[in-house]
Amino acid sequence: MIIEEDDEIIRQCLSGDTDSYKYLVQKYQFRIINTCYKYTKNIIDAEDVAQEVFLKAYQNLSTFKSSSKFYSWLYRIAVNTSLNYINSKEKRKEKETISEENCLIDMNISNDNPKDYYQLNELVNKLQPLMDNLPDDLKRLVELYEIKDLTYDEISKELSIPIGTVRSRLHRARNMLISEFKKIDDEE
Amino acid sequence: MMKNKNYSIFGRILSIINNDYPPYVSKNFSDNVMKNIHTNGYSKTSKFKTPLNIAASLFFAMITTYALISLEPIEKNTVAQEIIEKDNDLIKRVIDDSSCKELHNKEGNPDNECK
Repeated sequence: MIIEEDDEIIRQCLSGDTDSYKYLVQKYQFRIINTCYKYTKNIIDAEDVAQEVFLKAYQNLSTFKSSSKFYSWLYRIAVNTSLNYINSKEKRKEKETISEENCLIDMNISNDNPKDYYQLNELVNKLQPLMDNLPDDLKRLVELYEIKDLTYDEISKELSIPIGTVRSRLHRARNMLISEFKKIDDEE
Repeated sequence: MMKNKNYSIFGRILSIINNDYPPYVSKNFSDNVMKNIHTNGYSKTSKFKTPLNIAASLFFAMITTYALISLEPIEKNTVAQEIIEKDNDLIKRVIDDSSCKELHNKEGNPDNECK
């Protein structure tokens, strides 16, 4: 299997396989860092806050309820942690100075070490054709599950197909996307 | 390694189709998170955790038992000493008593304190 379900990875983590947690970090790092970036306004702080988010999530993994989606839970932690970060920064009354400094740092990152960073905006135009090439039923499933954030149960009711079919089709869609992405992404 | 790559790729796909991606992300971000988890002792994997706990419990149990056993003779000695001290008290009383008797014989009047 190319990609395991979040629930399965969480189960592995809770049973003692800490290293499995890396899969969740890799899967959601981009979206969580971007959530933090919206609050911190600079990428270095965003990565620091996101790191704290993933640590908090790991520490509280046993309290996660599998009835909700892992990303939704992680997103809430990211928003709260970012707000705490902003509040602590305001307390220190350094907000404006630090933002200005870090905007300059942001600009330098891409120029200095481009190979150490993922630059996703370069891939946007390449990814759309991959989505368009997916069969309609798979594309619809990807939209419902990954973009509209519905659960398997909700998709099953909406499309009137069994949950098992939802799972297997999504699995097929993911595999197709990953395989095609590997062909276009020359960085990997 | 291959599995890692797939998750990272899928993460990028997810963020792009959701139009939810930052300008740059460090390629070693996930490694840093995992390093933090391991160095801060959050790791639930610690392969030696359970055996270490058992070994520590056994070690303390043995020390406690040894301490209890080695303390036992000291307690006995203490009890013995107390008894001797009591005996000494009795002897003292007898001596005191006899001195009272002597006083009584000499003066003919019994001292109230000797009663």
